[in-house]
Amino acid sequence: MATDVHSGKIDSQAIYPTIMHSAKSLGTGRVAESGLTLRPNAVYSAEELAEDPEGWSPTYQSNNGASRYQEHSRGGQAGDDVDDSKPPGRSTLGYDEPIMLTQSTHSFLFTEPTCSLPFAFAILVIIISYVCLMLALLNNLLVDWSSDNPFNVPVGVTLDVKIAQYLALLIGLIMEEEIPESLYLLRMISKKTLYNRAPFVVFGKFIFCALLRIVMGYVSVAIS
Amino acid sequence: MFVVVVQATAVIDIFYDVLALQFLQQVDDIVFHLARRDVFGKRMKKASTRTCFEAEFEKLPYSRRKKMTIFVKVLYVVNLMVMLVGLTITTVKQIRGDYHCDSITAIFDHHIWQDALVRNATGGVEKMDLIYSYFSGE
Repeated sequence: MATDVHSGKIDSQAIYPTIMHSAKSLGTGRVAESGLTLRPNAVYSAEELAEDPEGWSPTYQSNNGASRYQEHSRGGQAGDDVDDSKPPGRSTLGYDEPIMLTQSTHSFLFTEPTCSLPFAFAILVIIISYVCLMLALLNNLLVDWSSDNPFNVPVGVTLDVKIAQYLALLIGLIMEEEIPESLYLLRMISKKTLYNRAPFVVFGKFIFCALLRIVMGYVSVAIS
Repeated sequence: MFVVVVQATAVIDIFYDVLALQFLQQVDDIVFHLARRDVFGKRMKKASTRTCFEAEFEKLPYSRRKKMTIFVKVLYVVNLMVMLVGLTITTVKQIRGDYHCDSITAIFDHHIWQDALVRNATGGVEKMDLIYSYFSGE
């Protein structure tokens, strides 16, 4: 057995092949019999582990999701309050979606200092995105513009096109990520939880960035 | 997306345009992942591999996010309804013929229309040679 549940000791040597297998096959999974859940989350891939087996530091979590440990060396202590009765975030209804910051350059607006290269890069990407959307909008509206038909709607379309138009609205709304993702983060992350995990982040900047993404989503969905 | 959809006259054009807008929205995500792969330099890589991007945040209790959860659902429905109503109004106007042109302007070159049948002032019809550039169409 890889883990002594009662003492919380972890035999890293023993579970290492299990981790390798988990990372390769499933990306996430439970260490056999211990109840500890390996959460690679792109921290260490199987290849990286193979290259540097001494320096691996998998993140694993107790089953009740309350405690989190980092193992930095072989044979380290995992802690005594490991409860392996349930997997992390698992309820009778299913898994909970992990709440993480959006992996986007927009996030640099609140994770990086204002006068820094990543911040400037994020501004540049935003400008590019907005300019492209605005160009698309102006080009669509101003070509053949008339006051009685400002959206330049064609005189009539065939039935198949009309059906496709309705379906495209549904598909476009489903595929739109910016609005729901920003609202999800605003809904799930409070000032306190943000400070706990990322104390250097200013909550106001986080809110501003989320609003910026929502506006961009609306520009894309509603106008362009 | 709405403007692009209502302007479309072919099925495949609609999906091309929707796809193109999605592509524009994903530029920031793609740049972020390229930065992680050290494409834009060490500082960008360092910024994009900060531990906060891998950290899992604690979930707020449902009581604290209940209003926001309801708001998100309502917003989704409102967004969908606004666009569907907009497209329906456009469809009705198309069926009613609101977008048909009120007048037609034809510009002819300096040609001569020979033996044209012209109704004269007395109601009779006679053959005439008409010069387009001087002919008002009446």
